[in-house]
Amino acid sequence: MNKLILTISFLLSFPASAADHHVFQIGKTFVSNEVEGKFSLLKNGRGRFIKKKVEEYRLTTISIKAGDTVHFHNNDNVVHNVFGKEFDLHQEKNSIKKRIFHEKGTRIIRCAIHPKMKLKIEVE
Amino acid sequence: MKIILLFSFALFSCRTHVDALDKVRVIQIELNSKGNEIAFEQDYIHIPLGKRVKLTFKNKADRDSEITHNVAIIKPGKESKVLELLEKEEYDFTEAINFFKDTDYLLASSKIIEPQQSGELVVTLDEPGRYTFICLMPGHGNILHMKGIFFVKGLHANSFTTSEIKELKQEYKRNINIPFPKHNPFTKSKYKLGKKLFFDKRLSATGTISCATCHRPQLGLEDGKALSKGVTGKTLSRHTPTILNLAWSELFSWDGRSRSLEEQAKKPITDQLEMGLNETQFSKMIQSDQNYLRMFTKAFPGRPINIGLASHALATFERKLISTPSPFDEWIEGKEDAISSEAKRGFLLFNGKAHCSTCHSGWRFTDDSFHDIGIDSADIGRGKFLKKINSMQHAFKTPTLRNIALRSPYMHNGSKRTLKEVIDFYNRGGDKKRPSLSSEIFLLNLTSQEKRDLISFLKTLSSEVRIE
Repeated sequence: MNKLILTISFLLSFPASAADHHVFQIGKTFVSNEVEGKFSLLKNGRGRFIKKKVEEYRLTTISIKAGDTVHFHNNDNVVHNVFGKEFDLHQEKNSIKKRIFHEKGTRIIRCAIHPKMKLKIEVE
Repeated sequence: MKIILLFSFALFSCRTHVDALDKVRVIQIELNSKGNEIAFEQDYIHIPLGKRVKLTFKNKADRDSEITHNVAIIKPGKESKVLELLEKEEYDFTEAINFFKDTDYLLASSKIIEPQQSGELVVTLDEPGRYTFICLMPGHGNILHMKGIFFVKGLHANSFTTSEIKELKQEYKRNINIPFPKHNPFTKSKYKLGKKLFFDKRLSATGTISCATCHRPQLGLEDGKALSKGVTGKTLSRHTPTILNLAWSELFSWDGRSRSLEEQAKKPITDQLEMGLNETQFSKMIQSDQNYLRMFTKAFPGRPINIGLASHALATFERKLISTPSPFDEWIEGKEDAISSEAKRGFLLFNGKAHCSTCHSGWRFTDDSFHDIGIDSADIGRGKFLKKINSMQHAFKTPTLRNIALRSPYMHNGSKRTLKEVIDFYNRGGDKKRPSLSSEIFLLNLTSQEKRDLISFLKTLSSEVRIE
């Protein structure tokens, strides 16, 4: 039993390595990484994202651990600008920007240009 | 296809001349790389059919950055083939000519262009279509997407397929399920109270101005003035925005200063320059009116009566201010003759060449976004609240285009008197080129017929503002 507790405490003393999370920005909406590889299904004949189809993948909240990195993939044909209290990411079309969230707590981030794009990030 | 190819390296850059494009034979287009970024400054360039195009490309990377570029024009439909070649491990730009020599993928290609140097291509684009321009340096075009599209006129207004038009029309279907917030749900008594307050001049310090003084139903809920005056007689700094279809909106006023309609409704009433009413005056007015006392008690039983509560009623009333079906909506619903053929062409231009629907999207004709569109004014708009965000300086909220023909003058400062002035403004890519200028604003090269078509279309968005 003692051995087990020792092993557990030994394991706990190593923090889990920081993880990467991928958030996509499509049709002026935050969507989950489930859309990866499915872009063509969400587009119309002219290569524009169809809002109704994008909505099915809408992401409103993500939970991450302190120290994790969130990669923001701007797959839209418009510029986005995700910002929070302590950061500001100018995102050109088809660009990826990342941000490490060190502090625990819940925050809401938005696109400054498209304020309807909101995402709650819960950092545990 | 007649192709004329010229190379020259010059240290000057040309300006793009777009005036009277229909009459000129040679069009000069200036295309730059974006500083030290691996990107072009423009993603789309519109070109009329059959013109000779003189393209000057300037590599704007710093002299010591060692970032070199190239610009090539790909024939319509051959982009994927070119990208395939670029993906090959042994691809090397200095050998590019060998890679492409057995293909007919490229229309023209420049040599390597060093930082701060320019290159020039002259081509004749005599088939309508999309021509990709791309940097063939390894990784630039294929991995980092350093490419863009020449839309050669004829494509946009005329080449939407029937199924594409059908799909497009779906995006503009009215959806009038009004969302009311949980903290302020709809009740009839709140609506009635809000309506009474909206038209009541006693809501201003002088008893001369009601909400409806500036938001007049017959003028699309605006007042027809470039700038209005408040109770002090002083001219206000921004044009009265419409309050039509705000139930679905996010962040209110030109600069997004209010997070809810409740918060927004309160501000003009208490603002010193607008209606200038304080709580004491408000309370006195309500207490002396039995009607109001009864209505407040019915709408908000047991709640203390103040301006905040009044704005909850006003917000409830405002959420019901929805545009009624216009000729455009009838067309969307399938009545083919509801709008003219000019207007139909205008609708396609709106979604294509004129690039309007990037922001003015959906049945409300807005995505509630904030942009610096290049209005020549010192007002920093949204930048007042987001000081550090470059793109928010001089940025204002995208207004709905419903009833736009009734809502002149236009823009946050009322500086454009007519729709023609507005279209001309967008056509020349705005007036003030600042670092904050939105990347959605660029030269459109619209012909005078196309401008008229757009205006015809915009006029189909007018309908009566009905207040129940």
